[in-house]
Amino acid sequence: MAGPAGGPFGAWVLWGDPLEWDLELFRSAGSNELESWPVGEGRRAAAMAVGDPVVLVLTGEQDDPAPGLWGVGRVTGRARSGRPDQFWRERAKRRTLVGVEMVVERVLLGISDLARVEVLAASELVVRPPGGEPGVLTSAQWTALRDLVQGVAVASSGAGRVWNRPPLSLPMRRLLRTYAFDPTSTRLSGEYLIVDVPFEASLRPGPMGELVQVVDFDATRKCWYEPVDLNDPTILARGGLRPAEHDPRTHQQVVYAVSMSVLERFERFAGRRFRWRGTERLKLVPHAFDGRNAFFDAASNAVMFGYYRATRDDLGEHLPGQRIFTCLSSDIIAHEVTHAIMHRWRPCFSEATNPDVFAWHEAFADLVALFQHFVHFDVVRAAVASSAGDLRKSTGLLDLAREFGSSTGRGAALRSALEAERSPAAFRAATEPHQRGAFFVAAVFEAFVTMHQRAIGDLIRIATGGSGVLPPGQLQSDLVNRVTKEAVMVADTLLGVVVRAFDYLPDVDVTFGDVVRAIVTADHLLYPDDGGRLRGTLVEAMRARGIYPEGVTSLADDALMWPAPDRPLSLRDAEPPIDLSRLIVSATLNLDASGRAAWAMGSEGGTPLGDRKRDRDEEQERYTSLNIWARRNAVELGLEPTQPIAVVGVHVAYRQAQDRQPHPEIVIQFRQRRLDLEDPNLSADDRVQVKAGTTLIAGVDGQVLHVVVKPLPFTSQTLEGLEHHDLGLSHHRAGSRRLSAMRSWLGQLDADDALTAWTGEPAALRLDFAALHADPPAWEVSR
Amino acid sequence: MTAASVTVRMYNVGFGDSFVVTLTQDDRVWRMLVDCGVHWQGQARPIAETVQAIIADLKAASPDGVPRLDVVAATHHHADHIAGFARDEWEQVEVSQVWLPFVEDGSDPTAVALRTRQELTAHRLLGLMSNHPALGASRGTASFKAAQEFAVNSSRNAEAADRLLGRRGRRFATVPTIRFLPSLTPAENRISVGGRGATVHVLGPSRDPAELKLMDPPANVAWLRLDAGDPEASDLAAVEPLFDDDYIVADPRRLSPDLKRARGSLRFTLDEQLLAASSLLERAVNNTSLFFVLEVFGTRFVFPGDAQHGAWQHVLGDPQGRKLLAGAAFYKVGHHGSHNATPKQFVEEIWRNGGYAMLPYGLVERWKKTIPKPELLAALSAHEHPLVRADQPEAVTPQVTVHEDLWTEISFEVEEDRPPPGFVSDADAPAVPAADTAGATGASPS
Repeated sequence: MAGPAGGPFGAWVLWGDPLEWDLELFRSAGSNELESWPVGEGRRAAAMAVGDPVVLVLTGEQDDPAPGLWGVGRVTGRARSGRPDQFWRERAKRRTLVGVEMVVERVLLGISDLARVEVLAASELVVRPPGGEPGVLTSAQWTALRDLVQGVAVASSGAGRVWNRPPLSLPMRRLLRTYAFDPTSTRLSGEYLIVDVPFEASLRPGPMGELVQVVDFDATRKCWYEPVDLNDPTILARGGLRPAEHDPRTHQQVVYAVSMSVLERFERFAGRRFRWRGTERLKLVPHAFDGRNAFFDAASNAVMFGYYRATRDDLGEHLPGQRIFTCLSSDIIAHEVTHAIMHRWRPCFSEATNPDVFAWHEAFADLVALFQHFVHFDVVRAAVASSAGDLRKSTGLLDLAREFGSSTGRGAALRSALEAERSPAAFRAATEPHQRGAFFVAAVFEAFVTMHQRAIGDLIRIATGGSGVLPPGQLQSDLVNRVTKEAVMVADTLLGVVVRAFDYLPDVDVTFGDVVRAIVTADHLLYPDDGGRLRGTLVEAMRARGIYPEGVTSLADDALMWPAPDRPLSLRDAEPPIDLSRLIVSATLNLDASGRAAWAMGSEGGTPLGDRKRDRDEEQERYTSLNIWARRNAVELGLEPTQPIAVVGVHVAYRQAQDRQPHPEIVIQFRQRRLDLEDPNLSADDRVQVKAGTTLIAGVDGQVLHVVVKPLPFTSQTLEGLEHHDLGLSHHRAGSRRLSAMRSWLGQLDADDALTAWTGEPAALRLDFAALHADPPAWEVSR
Repeated sequence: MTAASVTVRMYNVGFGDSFVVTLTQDDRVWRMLVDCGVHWQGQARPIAETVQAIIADLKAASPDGVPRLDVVAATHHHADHIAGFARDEWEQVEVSQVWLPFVEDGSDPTAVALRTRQELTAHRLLGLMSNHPALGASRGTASFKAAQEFAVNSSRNAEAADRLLGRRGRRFATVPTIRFLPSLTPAENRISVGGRGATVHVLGPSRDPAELKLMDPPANVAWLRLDAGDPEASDLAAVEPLFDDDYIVADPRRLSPDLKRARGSLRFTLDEQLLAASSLLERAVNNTSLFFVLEVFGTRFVFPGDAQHGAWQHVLGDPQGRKLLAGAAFYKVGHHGSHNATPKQFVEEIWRNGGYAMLPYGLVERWKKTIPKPELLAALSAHEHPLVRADQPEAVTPQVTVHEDLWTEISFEVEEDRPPPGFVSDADAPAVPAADTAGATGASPS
């Protein structure tokens, strides 16, 4: 909109009188962030749009607070009625408020300084508009002001910035310190590890960043612990606080650091940005309660960490009575955060529809946590060095796995699985999720060791003059370094293979067989030749433990890969058409590390990508088109054509392929709830939901490459039309088998659950991660 | 010709069990009381009234006016099965034998360990619920209350247990022989009762070490341990600060609204987990139920106590057990008709159509949708089993007598020469007469 002085709109000016808004109280409350501000009810207030730049001017006769410009930020919410924050003297009265995001700490520019600048002298920055309306700066005025305060609002503290001209760019990484890997372990690399995570300039006390928020509230003791501000220069300068058990702020730092590190690895492997639903953050509660447990609570998207006193019968090496903080164990943090990520990607994997679903959750969480150890070169190096001449057996690396979670009592299942005989019988017999999942982790770990041995074979031969027989005693340190490097690389590759497979998993009712198929399919697309024999090694390690899909005739790639559609299926055929190119462009822009590309394109290229409303509209159109397309192709997709189909996810991922080129792919998930197949004796809200789900992998040209179905039997009406439809009939048969297997499994859960005697609620609805992670697991007890 | 008559009288206590079985042969009468208790909810009348009514009926039936029972069987240690024995009126009653599940045997170390665990767990659960600081937010919810009821049902039955075991001055008019069943000696699990042709087969609870875990109480409520290993479980009041005062936010108003909002969205309630743990305890105690079949010339009466799914499997897994159940003329519906206490397989495949089912039940609002389980009632009806309900007394056949709402009775005439259906030959292992047991005192009355 145009300002009073003419010219295009630049920024809004909010005005405040320290007599009405108590700056002193605001400061003493330890906060420096403004979240809302009252504006008049006029046209200007109504025109304030989310994302608009906004500045704050405080008036006053006195020098304290000094009148002038106090903050620069942006609008986060449109004007609406509400109560102002507690620093307003008249806080009880409802007023029209706009949402803002702005740091207010000290005066940035005095009013007399502003008045002296020619362009601003007559602006609404200096001259307050009448009627309590916000002021407006023209684009030219705003540019001039921005030049004056450049950099001020970005980094929140440090007097030196006045002198650092031209302004310095923000660092890319933030260094923080954690335990290796918890306070009581006798680990290989000394007490502390340095973890580097992306630098979030807007990190607030908590810490609270874009993805996670640490909430240090203790429900047992009903108190808050002081939140840490990681942007404090004294912390920045020393590369993070040194962890100390007596200082809760260091605990907050540890949970933040490890979670961010895990999240970043996921983004890298998955080849796309990770976001929680909407504006949601993952809440991390480091001292949630007094008790020996830590778990992910899906309903509140929070990880709760308990603390407890060690007892005589505890595993590990603490003293009786010693306080154990689960939030200081990197293994536990990584494990729980992984649960949260999985739940974001596949929410239905939190429904126990077969014995593998929860076991897969546990397996994947353990796998990520275990392989997180291999991020730290020094740790791996120490493990390699400790294996001395016995390198070929990699016992040092095995020790690393054995130590996983040892001091907190976690990881026992993995330890026993690593020791267990490689036999399908043991896997078949294991029903407890941690135990069952451990077989999968053990298989991946075995593949890792095999791959690593293969990778260092030449190094050993070079080092031994061709004999391959190492002399007794310590290893030569260059060799240790090289062998370590290989271990880190192999671990990274292998974890990458498994994480990438996630997109290829069905939407519901996953089994370990599906996981194997997803791994093979995902990897085959990128590395058709399996040059390093990675895929083959992994599949073999799984096979030895009886982990393979039911009913496959061989374990060759062709047999294991998800099937391609029977007849060519293309998203280009959708009517109305689906705008795939914009989907791809927006995914590409999202990958920009600064996160600003979308915004930049919007202002310059004339394509307002990053405009939230427009994005939402487009998304809606896309979902509608996809929905129509899915209904038309329902039978091929294993979905019932006469019932509603939900489009639950559409995204584009970029993956690094064999040819070193990024390989973009479209992944779409459909889901369908079948009320007609559920228990009619319960109300729709109280039942175990019966769902079919389909994952679709397509090229960026819209051609469907793979269809991953979890079908259910078709209705008889649909079935009549399918007499010669081979694929449809085969989906129907698979669906009938799946439904009856699911029913018998749910019946067994009911029979095993003590509350079944009392309530009509299906036992499956009572299974969650909290129950699963009680120690010993409540689930196990209830068996 | 009629060789014997058997009546099963169900006293209407409400949500609880109390049955008197009378076997009359010629002029000999043998009488057994199976349980006497009620849940503290769902009471049809105070349990004292039922106790007095039973004793009055015993007096009336006794030739010399002295109330007598040949056997008192207490199936398991829950209030809704034994609470009535706390009443001192029992001091008037002469009792020859008391039958209890083996887990009550104070001289058996396994049983003692098991019962101690169950009692301790009930105690800890109640302790947690009354004073654990973390549970503040959970108090008052429906789940919390239900959890409390379960824990109460499993504890505070000490006075009743004392009477059954003859401890701490609580007694009957005579000193009965106490039998802990089943015995490790198989022959002692077939007990001759009354005159000829009548035997009680004790089928459960299992003494198989592998199946004892069915009776194990839960070790934890979510993150709170219930077992003895946790020093803090017993010392909940002593909550010392976790960190120095400097680290504790003195005035939470200072915190940013973001943090406070986030805290508001967290769930710290434990009521669901408490309920899960309490119900595990409830089930563990139910699974200690004495499970027996009274057989009179091949006519069988099944009393499963409140055995749940796992404990039933022990009986159904035994071919002899299945045979005994197959042709039952009478079945006491397990656990007030709940889901897990009458296996579908028993009703659908094993129990031959036509036998009577008696349902000891009183309405408890909280469970009215699920207990009794509608599917069970439908299945019983589909298999033509006449159902006699304590809460809806009705003379569904001429064999059934309804006495106001105080009791309901079914009478059976047993013929000697009738070929017993699915007969388990007694010749294989002769039953041990009750009086032969070592230490048995007192002759059977009448």
